[in-house]
Amino acid sequence: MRDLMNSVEQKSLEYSIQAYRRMVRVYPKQFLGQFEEPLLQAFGDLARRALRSGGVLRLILLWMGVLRDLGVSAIREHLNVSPWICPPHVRLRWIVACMFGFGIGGILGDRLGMISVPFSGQIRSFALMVILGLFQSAWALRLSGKDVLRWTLATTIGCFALALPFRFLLNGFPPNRLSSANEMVFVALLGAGIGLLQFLVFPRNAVNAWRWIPATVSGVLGGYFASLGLVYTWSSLFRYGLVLFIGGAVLGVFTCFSLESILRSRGDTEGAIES
Amino acid sequence: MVNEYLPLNHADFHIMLALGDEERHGYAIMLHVEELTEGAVKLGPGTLYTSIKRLLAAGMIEESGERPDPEVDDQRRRYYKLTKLGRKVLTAEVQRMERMLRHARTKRVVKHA
Repeated sequence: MRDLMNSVEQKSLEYSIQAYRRMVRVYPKQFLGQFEEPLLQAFGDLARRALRSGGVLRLILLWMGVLRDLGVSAIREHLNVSPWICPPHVRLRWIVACMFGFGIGGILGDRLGMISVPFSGQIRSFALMVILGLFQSAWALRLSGKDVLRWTLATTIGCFALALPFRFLLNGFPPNRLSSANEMVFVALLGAGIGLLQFLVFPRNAVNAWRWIPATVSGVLGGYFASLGLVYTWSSLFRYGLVLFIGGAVLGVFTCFSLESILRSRGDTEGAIES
Repeated sequence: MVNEYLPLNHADFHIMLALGDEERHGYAIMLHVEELTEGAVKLGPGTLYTSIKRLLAAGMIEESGERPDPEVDDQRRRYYKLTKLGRKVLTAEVQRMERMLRHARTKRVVKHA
């Protein structure tokens, strides 16, 4: 095997390493964070050996094998990456907390006799959001280390801060049933309000408002309308309760995904979530 | 407990075998596997490090704290070694292969060495 490489071989080596450096970006970030340097080092060693033993032709042959290896291993690695970091019981607790928060809060609000539309802006629907916040806090808030009162207040005030003015604007006071188009905007604003205020008391996620708030908006919106459509023909009380429970579960799934993504981007581990 | 990890996949087995007698870094593992299999198995960098990641997570190999002499080798290289669990799993895998080989011989699929 030759020890020295000519200038063409030197250039080929440099270009190859540069190209490989770009190509390894196909691996998941988590994997690259751990193994990018060793991958490049191993490829560089292989390329040097190929050039010394058989020149550029050998390098081309090496590339053919490396491309196949890169494609196959990157696909496998992506498939192996779990979409979840939180342990299953934490995820379940979060989703159930949202589900019960909306469900029980909504039914209580209804029994208090105030709403024809879930999450109506009347003052007594305060109970709904208090209970939503309370359940989320009590069961799920160990994730943020913040206290129950702050979280509950954030959820409650968040609901009203954005949604209530919208209803007053359209209906005057007290607000009545909304048209379906306005209802959609109302529910979206409600989600934005919850997300925004929850985010403000969730300092661990200070750089991730753009993930948390859209997750809450889409969760509230998606959950509410999907479940409403599903149970539209059923008896009103049962339907109403089911709407709220399903809606809450969808909100839980959306926000749980967002939380996962936030934790992943911060490089937190499973142990850090529980602590 | 060891049986939970069996059978080992092809790449994992060769990597663990390469670490059976001494600590090696990634490139040395690739060379050793190629040499041991007379060129029949060539691990690419991607396959190597995705397997190493899996084996580290399973606790079958670990990074060695020792670094080579800078005059002998690049100090940035990471060396890996088998853990106790890894050695047990490797032994169990070899024994499993031996049993399979014995069965194959009794069926006269392969001849005795």
